[in-house]
Amino acid sequence: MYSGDNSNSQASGNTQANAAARSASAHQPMNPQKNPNVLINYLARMLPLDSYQHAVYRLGEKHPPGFEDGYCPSWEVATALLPGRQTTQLRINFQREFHLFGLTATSTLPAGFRMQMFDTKKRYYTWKDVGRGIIGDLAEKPGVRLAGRGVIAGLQCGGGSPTIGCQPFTLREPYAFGGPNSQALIIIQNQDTSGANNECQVALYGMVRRFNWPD
Amino acid sequence: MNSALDDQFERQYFSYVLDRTVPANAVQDPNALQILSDADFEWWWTLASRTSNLLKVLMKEQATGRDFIGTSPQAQAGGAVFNGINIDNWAGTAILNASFPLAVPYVMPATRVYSLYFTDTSGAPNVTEIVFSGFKLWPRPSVQ
Repeated sequence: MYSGDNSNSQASGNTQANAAARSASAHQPMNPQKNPNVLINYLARMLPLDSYQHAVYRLGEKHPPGFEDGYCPSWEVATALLPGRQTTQLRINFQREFHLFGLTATSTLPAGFRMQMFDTKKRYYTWKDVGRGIIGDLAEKPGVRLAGRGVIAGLQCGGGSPTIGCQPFTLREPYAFGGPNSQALIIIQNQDTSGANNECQVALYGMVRRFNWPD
Repeated sequence: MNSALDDQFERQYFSYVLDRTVPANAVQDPNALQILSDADFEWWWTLASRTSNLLKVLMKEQATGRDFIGTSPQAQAGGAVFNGINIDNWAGTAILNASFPLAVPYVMPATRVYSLYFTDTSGAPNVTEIVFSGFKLWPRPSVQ
């Protein structure tokens, strides 16, 4: 076969429908059948009417609990007014079952700030001995960090100008904060060196369940 | 459409709009937005236009007393006073940043009132428009 020979070309019949069919057969859907070892977050949905929502949120469900199950959108806000190069710690106490969907941040000075965020109550299982299946010490202090080290706010909470707001950084799938009495610890370091106070604000957008659910 | 995904509602694209010129240096200036009585509203996106981004917002649902925007006493440092979330952290401007997606929509029942409290720190009147974008939910009889 040489180029120009269309009789057996791979491209023959390369219509949109054929391409879509090939794509559907070649790629696993983003929301495959439930694997018992994969956590399913029933909150995740982006588009309600068609399966392409699963391309947005991997764990998208057809009928996830939402408003009807006592969840509502919530913005938890941490604010710090900091002189140049100063650092502080902020703690957010969440309502029940806070699921983080996105982050945004602003600062009043263009130098912005760095931040590091922790889930202070989360605990994952660890292995003391993987081979023998012995679980690690459950009495170890809980808490996980959500970044390897302090991150420029725009890189943690979405890019853009720190003084005019950023694009929200939306998580690929929601992050559930560990509970009960879940809490986030946010460490903020002002990057401005002018000496003027910089108001740094981090907003955690998510879904939260009301305290008195169900009633 | 996949019938398994049909929730028996016709969705009509709709936007609820709140216009307010927030007085200079106003603190928690109250405003009310009422959902029309004809249909529930499924809130998907939030957008805002403002003269200055030195504007903060609090939002409350009147029938339930639910606060959508909260903080903790330990989440403020350096004398920062909590009058709400910076508007650019809450809503997209569609020009500078994209409209803010809720990802999981929230149903605002018909006739329910939502209060928005604006705090201005720009020192000048802040011409503000808030848009709740989403869908009216019109019930549809099931077709067998």
